Amino acid sequence: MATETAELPAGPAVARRSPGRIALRRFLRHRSAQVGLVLLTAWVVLAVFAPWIAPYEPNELVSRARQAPSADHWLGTDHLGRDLLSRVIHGARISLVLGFVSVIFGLVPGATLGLVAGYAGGRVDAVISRLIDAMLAFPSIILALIIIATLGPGILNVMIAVGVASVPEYARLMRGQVLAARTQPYVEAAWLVGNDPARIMGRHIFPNANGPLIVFATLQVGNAILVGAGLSFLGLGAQPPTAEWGLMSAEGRDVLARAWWISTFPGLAILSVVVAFNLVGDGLRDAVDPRTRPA
Amino acid sequence: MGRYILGRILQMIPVLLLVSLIVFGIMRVLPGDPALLMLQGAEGGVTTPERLEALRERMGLNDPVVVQYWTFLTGALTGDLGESVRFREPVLDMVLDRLGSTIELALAGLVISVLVGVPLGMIAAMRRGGWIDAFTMTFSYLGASMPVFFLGLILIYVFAFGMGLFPSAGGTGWRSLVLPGVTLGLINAGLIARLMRSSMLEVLGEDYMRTGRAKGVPPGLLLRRHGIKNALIPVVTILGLQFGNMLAGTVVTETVFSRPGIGRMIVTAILAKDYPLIQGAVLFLSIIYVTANLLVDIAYAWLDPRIRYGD
Amino acid sequence: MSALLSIRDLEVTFATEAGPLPAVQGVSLDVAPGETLAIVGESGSGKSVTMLSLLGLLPAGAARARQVVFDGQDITALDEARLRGLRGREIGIVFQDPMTSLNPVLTVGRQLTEMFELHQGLSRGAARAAAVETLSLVGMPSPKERMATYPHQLSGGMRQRAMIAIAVACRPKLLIADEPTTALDVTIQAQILDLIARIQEELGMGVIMISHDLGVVAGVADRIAVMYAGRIVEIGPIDAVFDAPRMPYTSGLLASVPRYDLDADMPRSIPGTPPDPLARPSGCAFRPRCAEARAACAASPPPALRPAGPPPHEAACILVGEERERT
Repeated sequence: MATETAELPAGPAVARRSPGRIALRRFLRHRSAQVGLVLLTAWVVLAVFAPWIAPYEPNELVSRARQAPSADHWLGTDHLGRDLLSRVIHGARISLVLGFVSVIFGLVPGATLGLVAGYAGGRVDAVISRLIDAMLAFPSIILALIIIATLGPGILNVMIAVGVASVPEYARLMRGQVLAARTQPYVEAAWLVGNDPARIMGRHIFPNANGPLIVFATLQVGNAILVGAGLSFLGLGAQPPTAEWGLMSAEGRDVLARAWWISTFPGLAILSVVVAFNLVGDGLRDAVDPRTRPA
Repeated sequence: MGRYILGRILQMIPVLLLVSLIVFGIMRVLPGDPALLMLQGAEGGVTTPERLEALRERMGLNDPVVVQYWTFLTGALTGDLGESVRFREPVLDMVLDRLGSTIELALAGLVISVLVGVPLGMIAAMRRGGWIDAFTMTFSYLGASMPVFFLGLILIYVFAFGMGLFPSAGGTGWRSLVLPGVTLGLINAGLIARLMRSSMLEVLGEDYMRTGRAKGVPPGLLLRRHGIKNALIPVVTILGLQFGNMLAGTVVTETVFSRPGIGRMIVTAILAKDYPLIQGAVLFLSIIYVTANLLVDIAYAWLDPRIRYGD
Repeated sequence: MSALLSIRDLEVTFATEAGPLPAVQGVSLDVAPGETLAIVGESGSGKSVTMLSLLGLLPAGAARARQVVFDGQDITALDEARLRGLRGREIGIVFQDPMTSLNPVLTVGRQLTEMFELHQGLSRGAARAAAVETLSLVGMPSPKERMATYPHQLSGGMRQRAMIAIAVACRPKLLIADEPTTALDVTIQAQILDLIARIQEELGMGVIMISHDLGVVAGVADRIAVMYAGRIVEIGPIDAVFDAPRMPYTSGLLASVPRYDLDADMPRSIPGTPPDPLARPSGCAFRPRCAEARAACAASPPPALRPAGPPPHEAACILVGEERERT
């Protein structure tokens, strides 16, 4: 009997692998995804090997302040005389970490809530759904500001704030996916033959619901970097002398008229990283669901 | 229509109650004694046990939590939001002083984003595959990926420092509103353009557009009378969300352009640990947001008779 | 008798990713004033495309014809603006699904008054009066109140009445009804067909009724044209075609209609499916499904139909020629 019931789920497991492979192939052929992937890889390499690639220490005073870009200092020096190129390269570490960590802070609790709500249904779903709706009634930036107001400024608190503020969106997305997956015949079959709920969730529902979740999370990494840099620009995130792009832009703001490069290069760095994540995210979306491909 | 609006207003009540609960909660979940944090933050660490106790008493922190919430709620309803620890002014006055400026900025941003995004998306849809279409898609990509402060700084550099057309900071009158408004507007115009484009593409393929042509309606009129209104419906539905983006944007924009507004006030209040001020500002931003969404829903119903007549 | 509409050698080809797709090939037909011509065929046979091309509603460059004469003028020579003056005013069209064919955000009244403002230059007030009158012409109860309603507030039958009102608003000389009853309940279908027939009589319009359903056209049409794979394969007076079909495809269609006569055979469907328009067989396109097919059918295309004049009943089939030789 047990072996018979174990046979049933084999179908979707096989089916699940091949769409994944098709999607991967489609993704790698997607032109804007390729551009995004190249850009992203470049930034990841810069971030990982920053100490070896950057010509100077990020907080080292190397020259006179506010020197224009030159052969010695490709991107110039900042308002204190630190090498801007080195600081931009080191800044990639913080922004990438911020992006990924924030997403984890949002994704893990959000997806769990959504999975439980969608699977359990009934009263549990009602309570979680109300909670999600209530949080969605706030603009996420206000949620983030509230969290920072309680926790205080700081880069880790920014990650928590940006992450938690996105929890309801992950939860809503996941719940919708689970509800859609639940009505699939093979899930009903798995349930009818008495599979353990946790096993059904883990083996059948989650793998089939994670496509849109991955797409959203990828786009959300870019968004988190954007919001995080904005909060640092305001002084609520990274604190001096950290080489963080938003903070660096803010430091350049007061001397913008005399030294445009101090704000400009960190700004361009943020722009290019976020563009990279958006390109990759859109490529993933088209790969996972070809119907949404813009014609 | 009247019943619909009334229903929507009633729906706001639980949302606002929740907002008040969260705002009230800010000070209660702080790690540590809020009175101590505030004294340290606002007055630079000069604390004596007597002053601490006096502040606690003044803010009602010694009461049970339920009593505190009730005091907060009734206070908020009667316009008493407490006093700023740092500025020793009633929070309500401080908020109201800056409210106009923030709403002005958010509205300017919304108007500019619609004025830029809607025509751009429409033309892109009609000239699909052409250079305007390509430009629109690029523009919307950059809009979604550009930090607000970066765009603001670029505009300041070019139009304030470079050409001297508009002030770079502060000021009053419409000239001081141009650069911040354009900053907010351009950032969000991309999303609107993209949405308008896909919505318009869909509408262009609809049966009733074919009917319009079969009726002999000239192309321009067909677009104006039959196309735009239908295509605007999905755009209007996200205007509420857009307004949230605008409010979020004002926090940064007001700082970049040194505009006195609620957004900038929140930031300084957070840095100074001025909790009553934070509470008041967050409360008002939320109320603006909820009200804006109500207005959007009404606009939506006005555009789409299927909603207006409730089915 | 001069024809109201006369089409000669209409070709419609769509450019697709897989290459040019011939949707209509060499269609010629006439419609007399006051006459009802039914065009029947399976979906994809080109019947709707023929009519859309007539109104200039297809993508530019898709349709070509040797000649399309409507009411004495060759409309292939008209520019877009002149053609637009024809659409709605001289030629009205009723589409299949009134739910999607009416604009959801405009009132019925607005969609109707527009016609009078556009084509007759009436003022708002006069257009309103004319619209109310037209609504009562199509049997809309309490027409004044209906002016302010939106399409979604009407029932399917009432919606189609509104659609017909728009089509006949300017008293056109020709009404094209493209599957006007397909989206409706069976009980409503007869009402709508009666309505079209009544208005036709009142206004003296020519009507082209497009349908995939022989049962629908049997009661209303004077003549019938059967289309298959982009061509007219049989055309003639409705009784002649129904009683003595000359083309096996027409016979097959007739046999597939459920009949209510007691001694009727069970309906039989035609085996197979219509050919892929990108890869139609040589010779007669119906050949692969035809029980009477022979070697000669593959060799050459079926004889062309003589579009006008007697004999009125013709079929593009090799059998017709054989039959003629026998008699």
